[in-house]
Order: sequence, then C-alpha cells, then structure tokens
Amino acid sequence: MADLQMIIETVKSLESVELLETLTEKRIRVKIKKGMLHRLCECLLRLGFDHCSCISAVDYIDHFTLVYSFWSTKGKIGLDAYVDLGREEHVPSISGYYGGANWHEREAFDMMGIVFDGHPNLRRILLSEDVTYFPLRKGFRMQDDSEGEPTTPKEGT
Amino acid sequence: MAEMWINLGPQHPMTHGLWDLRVKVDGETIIDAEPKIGYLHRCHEKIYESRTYPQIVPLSDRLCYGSSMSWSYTYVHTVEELMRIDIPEKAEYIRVMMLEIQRIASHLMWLAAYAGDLGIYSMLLYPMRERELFQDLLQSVTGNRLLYNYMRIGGVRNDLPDGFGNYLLKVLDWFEERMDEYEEMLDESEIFRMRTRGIGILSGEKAVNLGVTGPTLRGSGVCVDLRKDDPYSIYDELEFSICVEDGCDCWARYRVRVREMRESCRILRQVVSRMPENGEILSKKVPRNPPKGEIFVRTEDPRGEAGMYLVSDGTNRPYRIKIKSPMFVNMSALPEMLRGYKVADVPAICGSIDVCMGETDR
Repeated sequence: MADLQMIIETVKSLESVELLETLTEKRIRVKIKKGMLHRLCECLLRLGFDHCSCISAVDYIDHFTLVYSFWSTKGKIGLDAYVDLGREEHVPSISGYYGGANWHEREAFDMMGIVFDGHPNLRRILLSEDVTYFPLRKGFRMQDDSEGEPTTPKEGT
Repeated sequence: MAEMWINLGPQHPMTHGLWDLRVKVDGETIIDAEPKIGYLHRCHEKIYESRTYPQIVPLSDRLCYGSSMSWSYTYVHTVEELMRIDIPEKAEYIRVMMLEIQRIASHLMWLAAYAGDLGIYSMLLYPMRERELFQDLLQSVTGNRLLYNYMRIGGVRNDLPDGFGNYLLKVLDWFEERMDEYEEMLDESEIFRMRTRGIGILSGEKAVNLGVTGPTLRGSGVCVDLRKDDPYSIYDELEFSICVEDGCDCWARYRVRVREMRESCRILRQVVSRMPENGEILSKKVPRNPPKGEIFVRTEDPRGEAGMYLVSDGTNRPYRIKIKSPMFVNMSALPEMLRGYKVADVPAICGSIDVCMGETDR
C-alpha cells in the first residue's frame, strides 16, 4: 500500500496540482485546476483512494470552492482536493469514477447551482423541481424570525 | 409483461420518516429504483450560518432523533478540532460512554423496527423494551429522552449522577442476557432467515465505490470503522474489534449490528472501570470564536460515517457548515441493492440500511 510520502510525490507530479499542507499524518490538502479533476481521480484510484467521503461547495461571493474529500480504506489516509470555480463556470462530474459522488454533486447543484458536466442525472434532489433559487448561496437571505414576520425566501444581491 | 413505475411512498407501511421510493417493475421483479428524498428538509446548513457556535449544539441534535448524541458530538468535535483545544480526560470518557449507549439504543430501535417490518412482531416489542433502559440511562444524565443538548464545545454540560456506573453495569448485565434471547429468536426463525438471506446483495467493491459506510459496508465484508481507522476521542485506548460479515446481504447487515451491540457493551465496561473519579468536565480554555480556517472531520455514527465540513471566517458564526450524512449516501446505493429482487423484498432491503430521514434530508 502506498505510504504518505509516495502519495505526496505522485500527486505533486501531476501538472497544476499544488500541495497546500499536510494537516496530520493522515490527511493532506491539495489544490487543483478543474480541468485536472479526471486525471486526479484516475491517479487517486491507482493510489488506493477508493472512497469519496464528501463534496462540499462553499460560496465565497466572488467564486465557489468545491472540496472533494477522499479516503483510502486500506491505507487509512485522507486527501482533500480544493477546486476554485468562477460564478458561472461548470465543472466535470466525477461520478463516473466514484459512484458515491453522484448524490453529492446533485446536492451541490441543488443548493449552490453549480453545474457538473457529464453527470448522469443532474436534477434537484432535496428541493422540488419547480424551485428557481439556490438557497445556500450567500446572496439568498432568510428573513430572521426575530423580525416577527414569516420566513419567506428572497433572492438578494 | 409491461414495465411500469410504482410509487412506494411517501406514506407506506415501512416508513421511517417520509420518503418516496419509485420502483420500476416487470411483473414482480424490480428492474430499477429511484429514491426520492427531501420531504423532511429543514434547511439545517442554512440555519447554522445565522447562529452562533454554541447555539448550533441543540440544533445538531435534531439531525437524527435516533442518534442525536452522535450528531452533536460530531459537531462539537469538528469545532474543537478547528480550535485545536484539549478536552479534559473525564469529559472524553463521559462522551464515549454516551456515544456507545446511544449506539446500542439506536441499533435496538433498528432491530425492533426491522423485525416488525418483516412480520416478527414479538421482536418489535422486546428490543424496544430494552431500548427504554438505555433511554433511561441517557435521561438520568441529560434530563431528556431523545434530544439531549448535552455536548458542549470543550466538554459536556454536567457530570454523571451518583452511582451511574453501577446502574449502567446492571443494565449491561441484564441486556447481555437478553441479547442471547434475541439471537435465538431471530437466528433460528425460519421466516427471518428466508426473508433476509441472499437478499439485497451488495458486493464489497461496489459498496466502497458507491460511498456506502457503517454497518452496511461492514456487512459487505469491508473492514472499515473510523473508531479504529481514524481514531478520535479515547477510542485508541480501548479494546474492541471491528464486526465484519462477508455475506453482503441483509442477513449480514443484521449480524453486524447485533455483534456491534456486544462490542459496545465491552467498550462501556472498560469505560466504567477506567472513568476518572474527579476532574473537570468542561475545558476552561475554550476561545470564544474559532480561528480562521476550514476542516473536515468524521466520526463513526451508528449508521456510518458522519462528517462535518466547517469553514470559519473568525467571527462568532460559521461561514459554512456542510453536513455529510451517512444515510444520504447509503440511500443512493439502494437501487443497486434492489435490482433483480421482488417487490415483496423491498421492506427487507430498505430496512437493512437503517433508514433515518432526518439526517438524510437535513
């Protein structure tokens, strides 16, 4: 099984992959360009990262960041890959490599409006089909209960 | 025969929360399935962004009423990891004790519901009776039966009541005897065997690729348990084994959960004997706000790998919290398990992954 040092070397050797930090002996962070996502997945599967724990989308107002958390069930090492996206940019889907990514990507689309190219079934998952807004974007405001008015969704800035 | 889609839900006899399973059938055989979720979506992640860190603890309890202690632990553990603070030893012991009691209570509730779904009604009754003992234990510590609000960032809210250790040991003695009875009742029940053996096959390789975790994954012969693989709290000091079954079917998932309850009893006995007499239960060095940064932390929930991804901007409210629910992912693997079986197998297969809609929809 690949050890941490070898994983770091292999991942670094991919072009436009930047090692951010080694958090602990068990978890490393890398930053990659979205075009490299499929190459990274192929490389990670070879290195034994067979489990995609989570895909988190964060809205930083001027851009989105997607965080892919991988885990190697045999090597017991985790890897977080950060991908920055422009507001309107699409990103390639990785559900062909990791079946578990399927619903995480649908959720990111549902809540943040990020489009995953090549996803087999990119539809809303938690909200109903006729909803037009993306509620986890920072511009979307909930009226605070303390104002004494019913909470109604509003599309803000 | 003509193929058609049937909606099983959102209200149905095996409902554990509201969800809709659409199955495509050819006669009695399922050729495809599609779970539809979202009926219990309560905007947890959005609400968290407008609450201060301590205010989120009781909210995180409400992710799943069957394992609220684990969820609030996952939350406080995430914040503590970002703050990089040390937790007093006694608090860690109390936490692990609570987590394991919660695991047993959650598995018992599953066992009762599952056996009930499959028509063994006496087993609907007995695990519920024993679960009540564990709920009483939790109630005597936290004052509440289901939603505890007990974890705090940096420790726990209050100390254990007097004589709690002995009370717990008595319950464990009683419970372990009852466990033998359950196994006799279910393992030797012809109906139960016929309805679970060889049903809902999910191979280990597929399970890992589909992101399945927890007892469902261990039932597929994959030896993964975050308490061992990525130890948190005091789990690395305790002796217990990972329960793995390689049947890949509903029966294997049932066996994993029953054996896990025994392991939890083993952990609880160790914790009782090692529990420090005195000591702080809440760290005094908890900063008001976590530093700027981000972290992804996972724990082993009764249902699988529970995780939270926290982004802090240094203020008193989180910038973003993403909740990784084990059920959300396990649910997405259901079509894989259902394909090829009969409509009558649906309750056996869906029940075997321990559905909890609260945390799936968040």
